Amino acid sequence: MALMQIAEPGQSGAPHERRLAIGIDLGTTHSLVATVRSAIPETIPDAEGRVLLPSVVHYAADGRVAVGYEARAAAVEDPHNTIASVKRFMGRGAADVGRLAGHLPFEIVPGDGMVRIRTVAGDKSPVEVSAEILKVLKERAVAALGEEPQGAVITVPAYFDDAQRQATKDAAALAGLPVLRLLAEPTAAAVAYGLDKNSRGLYAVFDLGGGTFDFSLLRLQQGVFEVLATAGDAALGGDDMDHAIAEHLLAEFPDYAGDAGFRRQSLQLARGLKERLSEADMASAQLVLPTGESRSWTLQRRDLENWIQPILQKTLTPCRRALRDAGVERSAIDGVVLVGGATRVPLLQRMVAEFFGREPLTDIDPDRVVALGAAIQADALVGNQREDLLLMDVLPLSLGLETMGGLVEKIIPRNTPIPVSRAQEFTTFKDGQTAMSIHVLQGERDRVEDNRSLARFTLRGIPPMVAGQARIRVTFQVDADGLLAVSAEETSTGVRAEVQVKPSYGLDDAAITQMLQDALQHAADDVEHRRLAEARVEGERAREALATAMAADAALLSESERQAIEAARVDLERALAGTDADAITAATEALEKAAEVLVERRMNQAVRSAMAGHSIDEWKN
Amino acid sequence: MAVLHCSQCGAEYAPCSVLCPACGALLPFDPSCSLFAVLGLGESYDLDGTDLRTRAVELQRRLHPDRFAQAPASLQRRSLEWSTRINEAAAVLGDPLRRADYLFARRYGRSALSEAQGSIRDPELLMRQMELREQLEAISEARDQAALDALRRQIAEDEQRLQQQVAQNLAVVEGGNEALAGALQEWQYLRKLRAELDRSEESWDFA
Repeated sequence: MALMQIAEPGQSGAPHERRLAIGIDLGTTHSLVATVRSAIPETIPDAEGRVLLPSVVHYAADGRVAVGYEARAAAVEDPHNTIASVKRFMGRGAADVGRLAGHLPFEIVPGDGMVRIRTVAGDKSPVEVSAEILKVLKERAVAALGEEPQGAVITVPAYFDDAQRQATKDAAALAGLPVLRLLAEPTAAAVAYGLDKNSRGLYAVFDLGGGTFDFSLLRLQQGVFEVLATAGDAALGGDDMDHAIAEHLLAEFPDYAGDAGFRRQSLQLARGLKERLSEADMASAQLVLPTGESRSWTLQRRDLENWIQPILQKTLTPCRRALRDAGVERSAIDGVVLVGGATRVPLLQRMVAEFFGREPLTDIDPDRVVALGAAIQADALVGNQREDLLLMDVLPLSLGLETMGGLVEKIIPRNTPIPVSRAQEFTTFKDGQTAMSIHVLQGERDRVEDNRSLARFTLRGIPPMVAGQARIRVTFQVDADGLLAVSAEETSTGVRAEVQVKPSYGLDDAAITQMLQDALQHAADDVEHRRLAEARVEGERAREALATAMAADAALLSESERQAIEAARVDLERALAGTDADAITAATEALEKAAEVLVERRMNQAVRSAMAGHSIDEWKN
Repeated sequence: MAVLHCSQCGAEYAPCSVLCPACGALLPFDPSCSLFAVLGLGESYDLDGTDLRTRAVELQRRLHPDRFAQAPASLQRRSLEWSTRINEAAAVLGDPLRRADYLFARRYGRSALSEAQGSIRDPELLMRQMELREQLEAISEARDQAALDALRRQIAEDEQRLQQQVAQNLAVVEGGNEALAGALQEWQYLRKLRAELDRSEESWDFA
């Protein structure tokens, strides 16, 4: 085995004392994992060299779960069991996603709390689906790093509310991934952007991802990234452009508009057209009708821009709001950073440039920039030397309590720096009242029903008193992840009632326990999966080493030796295409054995060339 | 006064210190310390906003929960408490209205703002506020950007005037607290009006 390895410069096994941590961008359309090695942040590719993992999960009837490209390939064949854009459902109830229902090829299960998605393998919560994506990214990192990372920083849209953040944390727990910190995506981008300790000033980050829009204003000073204000739209993104294009396409083929497979195909074609029209003025797509006929559909950039303009226009309102909250004029901004694949759209770049009166920065791949920033933060959090880096974030949406008349009283306004704690006093309104119901909400609107309900609980054991005499102090504590804890206490008598709060849309402990048990039952599968992944890495390493050696020195072999190696290589390719770890390992070993003669001759040749110009006699003594 | 010693290095430290002056260790959280004291500032209305921000950021740089991500739970808790407190100090003291009310509360034992919610007792002030509100409603109705900008400027001038009045009042050691409370309440009212004006303007975007 070791014989086959040809060391590359700089890769020789320096003992790493660094602690390894990873950054994960869990995106609506794509997810990525990155890490910091040798002080340089880098995204980790899969075995095929692909960095982006499509955030798509396919559930098969036999319980097999496919994630990424494989799942995306299954989408057209089996749209009902293929879940894409699951991030849009994180921490969301049925009422929130109603707007999307017509667009979805899969079925949403009605019910209370977080939505569930019906699949042939059972109803799945968005948390479970996201956990599948996280598991694949974690395995990818383990394979590349050769060990378990100490933890992960997972990015969330800055505009994610408490339920959505909690759901993201739950997904990580389910994937067996310790979360070091949830980090706002725009902040991560700012960190990656080399807006490092040398930069200072005001920066705006404009992040249009697949399904979410975030806008953040940051002040930078000697490695401290201070978020001044953030605003956004948790249901606005590149997907909306795809849907707009797909709707026009479907309108041309009204007979098939109801066919789930055709809808899915239209969406994929729409995404491709949008991407190509970022470069070209005109693009065509080939589509296959459910009847089997194929058709061509051509789109001009001009038409595309007319359709998506109203969508892009919506991004400017949050920009204005954040500027106002921060008390910052557009002209005071020193740089505008674009993040997210959707910002490649030329119309968007023109709009942003016009709004801010300056050309935006686009040097780092907008797809990778968030994961890279998360990796840098993760590296700092596990204690590798980055003493100068500090990220200070804000609460994205106001927190409040329900008061009389169905109104919300704000306790902590949006864009307050976190961590933050705030207390408010309430009193009883009836004589002898011994309990008080507390309803926690998040959002900017005045009426309860227009805001997100985070939790309801009852404070009991209040000593009976005259109305208005009790002093009930409700304390909100938001930690550095932006997650909320609420406690309540009757202060006039010193009676304290401890209250545990669970977000209404989060998972309760029982649900998490159940899922963890399910996960344990599948642990055997996971072990097998790990063995397979490791065998594949070894097999591919052998295959590549052979390709390098053959490219350089195939001439050293006789025809029969070459054929023997070729036969072993074909066997290995076949094994790699399958899922039998033992077969892959056996084929890898067989190839290495067949290639020994090549390795030996290459060594001899290397020795000879080192000795070239010297006679053998010189070396004898 | 009790003498305090750092549990890490044994060095003596002053009350309300956040970090040990000798070894830099994070000291136990003391909730009784004033917002001025935690930032190492004297208690005064007159302060330099840039200096305040720098002090808060420098402290956060060393005690923020991210610095204790790998630390024992007790230290993490201490870090969260201090970090929360420093944020509060920066927010309250960095805002001229909230800073004034904080000083008012330190002096008179109650906030001038929290108990006044929605109720103005001074009839003259009440009339003036009602006029402003009617003005805003008319502007919103007409979507008159020029008038809105003019009203915003006027509110800013009024806030400026109140800030000077409050600063003078707080500079006097024995001031009449009713006048000061009234000024603070008027100021808060203008703030609310300004927020409504912003919201109204924002709603035009959706038209």
